[in-house]
Amino acid sequence: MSHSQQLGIVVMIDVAAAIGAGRLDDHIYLVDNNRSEGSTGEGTARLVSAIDATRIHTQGHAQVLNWLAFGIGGLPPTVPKTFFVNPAAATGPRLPGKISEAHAARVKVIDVTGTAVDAEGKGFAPPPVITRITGEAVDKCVMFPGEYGSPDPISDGRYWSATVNPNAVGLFAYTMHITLFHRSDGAWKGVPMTWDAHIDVRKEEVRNGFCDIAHVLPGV
Amino acid sequence: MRTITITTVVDVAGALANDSTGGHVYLLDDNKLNGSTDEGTETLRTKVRLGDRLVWTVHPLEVESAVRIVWIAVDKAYCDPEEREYENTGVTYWVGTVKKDLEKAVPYRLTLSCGGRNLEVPAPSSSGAGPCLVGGDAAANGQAR
Amino acid sequence: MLAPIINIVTVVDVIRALATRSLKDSLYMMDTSRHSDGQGTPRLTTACHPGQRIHWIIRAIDVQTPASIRDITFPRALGDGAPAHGFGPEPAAGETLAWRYWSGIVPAYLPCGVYRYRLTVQMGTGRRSVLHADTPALKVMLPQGAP
Repeated sequence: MSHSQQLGIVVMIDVAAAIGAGRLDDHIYLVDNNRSEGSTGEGTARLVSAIDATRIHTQGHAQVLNWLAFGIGGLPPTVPKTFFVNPAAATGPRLPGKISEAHAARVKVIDVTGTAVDAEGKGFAPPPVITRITGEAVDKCVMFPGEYGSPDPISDGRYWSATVNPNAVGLFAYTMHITLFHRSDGAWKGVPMTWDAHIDVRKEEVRNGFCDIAHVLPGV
Repeated sequence: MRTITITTVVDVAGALANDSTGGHVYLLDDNKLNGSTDEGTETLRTKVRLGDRLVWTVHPLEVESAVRIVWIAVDKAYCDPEEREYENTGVTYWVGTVKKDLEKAVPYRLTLSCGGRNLEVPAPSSSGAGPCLVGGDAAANGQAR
Repeated sequence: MLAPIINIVTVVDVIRALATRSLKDSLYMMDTSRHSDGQGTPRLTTACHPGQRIHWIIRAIDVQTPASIRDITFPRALGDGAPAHGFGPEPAAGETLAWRYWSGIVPAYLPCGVYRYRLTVQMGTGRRSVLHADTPALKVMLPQGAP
């Protein structure tokens, strides 16, 4: 127990190396915030996220998972998104993704030190974007992924999240579909790749803290 | 000039609950192709050359938590990093240039401020093994692999 | 008419509590009982009657940090509340917690009065993961119109 309401899975990718190799093997590293509950493979390519599906009726919600992908050499997530907006006319390359012309003109393209990059975009790569979550865990209705919006001009404003079926227990695989970006012929091109990970769903008996008797609470 | 980014992924709540970064930080760099090893661990060995610009950043797992590098202790003869701010954001990073060729591994220590409390990488309990910069060939760096 | 259940919801700022090693300034308690005092503070005094069920729930203010109720204890001294009143001085160690829900019935034999209790919170696992507060209380009253 002592779980958090939402399990966050951070996907770190050495983008240039992965694009050069044509695959993510050796260049992807996964970390979640559930090590204390039994997740294994932290910091490696083979993460098994421990999921506690125990739920008390009156406490409602199912466990939620969130995925965030980053390039190792990219800006950290703690830099506020308003940093990108530059009232002066934009210089340099245009960003990929469905952002309006007006917005694109106001967004500054920068490298990891916050310095605006040149017209060729040298030193900058748009962060990798997770485009879908599929696989065994989804097919077996253990996990229900969906894409949610967030006000982030770089990742096209979306991130992937999933709820876990509280009645499913066991080890299940899932596949992340991730698009990496690289500069080619004066524009950014997306390169789709996939990577598999696992969730290990466990459930415990719930006991009353005052009298230590296993009991299912009536709904409120 | 090459830029090599060294990022530290931090489980802020986990590190604070244990009063130690041991087991709660994962260091990564984007220079594996040129010889960095131990990616994703607390003993990251970053391969560097004279003239490389090194940038240290942090990635908190809990996206809303406040964590930043408040100090980097490293032999200044090789690199003298300084703190910079992403303009008007209050978010900082550290940057330094490699000043001379490394004939041996140069270890460094990070001091992270987690929610206002300072914690060290490597953790004091980890018997000294921590991240380092390496250069030249493996023999010169005494790699025990 | 008596509400059959009173919900006490505790919200904790986990990063702040762990970084400052205290629940002071990191604990916000609220309940669904109309005559309680201290709503939104660690000094919540929940108005209740003998026979009512009270249900405790905890939430972390940051959805990605862990928070659980490790224990709720009512000290032996009855009548004027707990001898301690404040926040635990140092965080304690905590291992993996078994799942518990905290739901109890105010005993029928309990005399009216204020009963302070110790709320022990565990945030993750580790040697500084457990903190407590001796600040909340139950105020046991007779229902209106009772003899």
